[in-house]
Amino acid sequence: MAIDLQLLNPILTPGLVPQRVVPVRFARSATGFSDVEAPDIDDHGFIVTAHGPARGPVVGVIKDKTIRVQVIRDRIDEATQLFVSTDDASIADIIFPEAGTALSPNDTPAASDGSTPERKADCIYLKGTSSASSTAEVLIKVHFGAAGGPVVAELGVRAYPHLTIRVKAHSVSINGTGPTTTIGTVRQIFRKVSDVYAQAGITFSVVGGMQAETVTGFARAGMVSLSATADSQNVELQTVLNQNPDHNMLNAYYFGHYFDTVDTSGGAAGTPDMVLGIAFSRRQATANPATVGFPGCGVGITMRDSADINEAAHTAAHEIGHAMTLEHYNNGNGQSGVVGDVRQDIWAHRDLMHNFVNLVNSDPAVARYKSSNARIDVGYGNYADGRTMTGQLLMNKLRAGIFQSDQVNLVRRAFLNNAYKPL
Amino acid sequence: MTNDQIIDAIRAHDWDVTSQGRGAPPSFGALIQAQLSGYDAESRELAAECVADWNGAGAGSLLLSMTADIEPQVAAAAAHGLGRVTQLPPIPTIVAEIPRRQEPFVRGQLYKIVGATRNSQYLETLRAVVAGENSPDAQRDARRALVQLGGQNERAEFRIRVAQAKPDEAMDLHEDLVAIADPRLAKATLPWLSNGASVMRIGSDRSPAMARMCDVAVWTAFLLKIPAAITPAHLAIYSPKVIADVAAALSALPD
Amino acid sequence: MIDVEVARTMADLMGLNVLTLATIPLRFQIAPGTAASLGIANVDFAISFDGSEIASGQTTADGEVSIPLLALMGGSPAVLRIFDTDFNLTLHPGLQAVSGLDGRQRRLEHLGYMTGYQLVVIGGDQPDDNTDGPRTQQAIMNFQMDESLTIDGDIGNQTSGKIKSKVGGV
Repeated sequence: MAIDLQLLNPILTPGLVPQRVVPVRFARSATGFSDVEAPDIDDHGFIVTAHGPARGPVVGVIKDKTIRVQVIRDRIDEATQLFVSTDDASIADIIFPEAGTALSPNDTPAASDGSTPERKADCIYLKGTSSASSTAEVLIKVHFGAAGGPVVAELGVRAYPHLTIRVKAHSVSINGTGPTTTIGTVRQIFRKVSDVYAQAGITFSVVGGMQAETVTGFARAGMVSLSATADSQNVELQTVLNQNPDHNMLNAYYFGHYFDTVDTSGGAAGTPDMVLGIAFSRRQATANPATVGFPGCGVGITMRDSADINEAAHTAAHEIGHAMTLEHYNNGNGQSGVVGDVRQDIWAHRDLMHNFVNLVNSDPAVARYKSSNARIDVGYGNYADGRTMTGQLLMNKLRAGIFQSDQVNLVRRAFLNNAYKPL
Repeated sequence: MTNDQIIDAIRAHDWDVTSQGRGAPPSFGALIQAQLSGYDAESRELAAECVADWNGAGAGSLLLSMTADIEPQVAAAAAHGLGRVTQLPPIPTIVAEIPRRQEPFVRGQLYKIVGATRNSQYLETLRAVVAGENSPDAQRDARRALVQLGGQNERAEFRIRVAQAKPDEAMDLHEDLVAIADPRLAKATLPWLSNGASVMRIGSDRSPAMARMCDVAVWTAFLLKIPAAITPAHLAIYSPKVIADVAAALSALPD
Repeated sequence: MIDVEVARTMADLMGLNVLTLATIPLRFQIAPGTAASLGIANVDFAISFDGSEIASGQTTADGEVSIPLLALMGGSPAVLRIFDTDFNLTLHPGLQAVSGLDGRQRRLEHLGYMTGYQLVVIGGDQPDDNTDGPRTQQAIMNFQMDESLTIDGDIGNQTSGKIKSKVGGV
């Protein structure tokens, strides 16, 4: 099918530079919750950055794992033959299509004898093959017409050694009322959290059963009350975080829900859905030492009960980002959400560390979505109550002047630095 | 636990065993070393923790060798452990190993261990290794170490780096300043005191409480015991008076 | 521009003048923007009009094809065949002010930042053509990222100046 292209007339508009056409793009090859086989790609900008040579998106793969990335025939015919190559098969190898075989614009069915699986249309299947003990990067190239034909697109692939975070789950009974979250649910949650963090080469392993903790003397049974003090100074929250932490693990504390006495923008004080989770890194704990009558800021994540496994997993993944020193990706400086925040746009909604505050369904045709806090669908599906789920991308291209632009590197470094482990 | 029981607990990934290393006999290190090739990655990581807790003769050398593990998680655990033991291997030995470590984080930890000796006799040797360092993260750790070892050029560069810091560098530099522990260097944070850019959360997702660059400068001054009336005694959004008091105290410091 | 040799008069067939015909350059690149070394070089192309081929060749080192302007001024589109793909080429009515939606979309398209596929869905499968929607937002932000501008998804003074200077023209 022909592609329509409008050109500006240089006689009417003298001084124009030549028009550019980019025939091929890349995109995430799945929709819905993070899929370990089809990660999201960091396609913010196209310049070469400090972390690698790709003039295109960057995607991460764990050593010995296989992922797929979709090739988008943006301005090229679907019948045009496209071939794929890797600059270094010892870092990431092309599993499909095989060498010398063109990408198929149609799904390739599984072999009838089961010898090969189904392959999705126009997808590059890559395997992390690097045996290095540090991150290695390679360029994947798309060629026109033949295996050695002109390069029409580049994809940066980072192959990561696998890192595993061990998780200790705690069930916190407050004034005699405990959470409904069970160890089985926790395991489900962290399997999904592993799907999110696979893009950074990190997975999670829940160790042992749910450790029972008992606290009394809180303001409300089953609830952690949040007051005007910074949460790093909130006595009830910090009391929970200081309950028998395992010093070699990420500690995840579960209880009924939070009671927020301060922020009523989403509902009356104590509205259960207002706060889903709160987390701290070791860096924050160091900045808030224990004083008389105050336990000191703990390290780990706290989560309220949730009936929706996707909500619980997404929230846990977001909070773990905080425990790994990530701030919100808003305005480039981690500022929590403010109405009119112009960074609440596609990237913020695709990024795991965007802001949840005041995100409500609203008609983007009426209010410009990028500054209206509208919860737009960026392909991650919906929660059980119908709200669209925002994204789970961790950025991977370092760009000067952009706050925490290399989130994957920061998270991996924080991991190795024990940022999520109690002091 | 007996040594054999500890060995088996490590193989079974029983993380409760880490504290058992503390009371283990002198033979513990050799025993662990003999098991390493048969351990999986998690067991090797656990073994590194146990060796660090054991802290016996030879723990340092064993942990240094374990920083070469192919798994970065194991190598990092060994590097952290090396930073905790009482008796380090000879520093020139550590310096010689740095360029052989693939993982930048591990190299960074080794730079920090060398720097923490504050022994100027290692300055030139470390400089030679740092010259070949290409990881920005490890370079940062190396710079801290060279300042700690007394490098005057590096100290001057570090001051400039601190003075010109961007918000997302503030917490890293704060940690470097505290580790270097020279209050005079904190004077370089004077420009931070007039910078209200957000740096790190002290609130939560629904309350936009962020510590600012000026607050981090105040907190740094507090930890370096620079005389000023700083309240509260934790990282907070400080009042203009506190900030002004810190500015005056920093200005009064010698260069 | 392309040069066409034209005889001066019937009486003087040995003397030829050169008539220069205007062309519109079109560059095929691996990524958007005006950075160096992005062009897709040595790709065969052919340009036809009304079913007849009027030009052919290979893309230059910058991935460039020269489209004769005359071919675009007829009633039907010229067709550029490249990458085994037919492109129907027509003239855009003209560059609007960058402050307007058409002006910004047109300029982003000119630099290769506007994608043709739907990035996100708002309220169902609604295309966001002719709206300040996700495609335009993402294109602006990618441009701002590549040009080291403040990334706010908006065409304020800084971005406006830069995009106009990058595109050229009015």
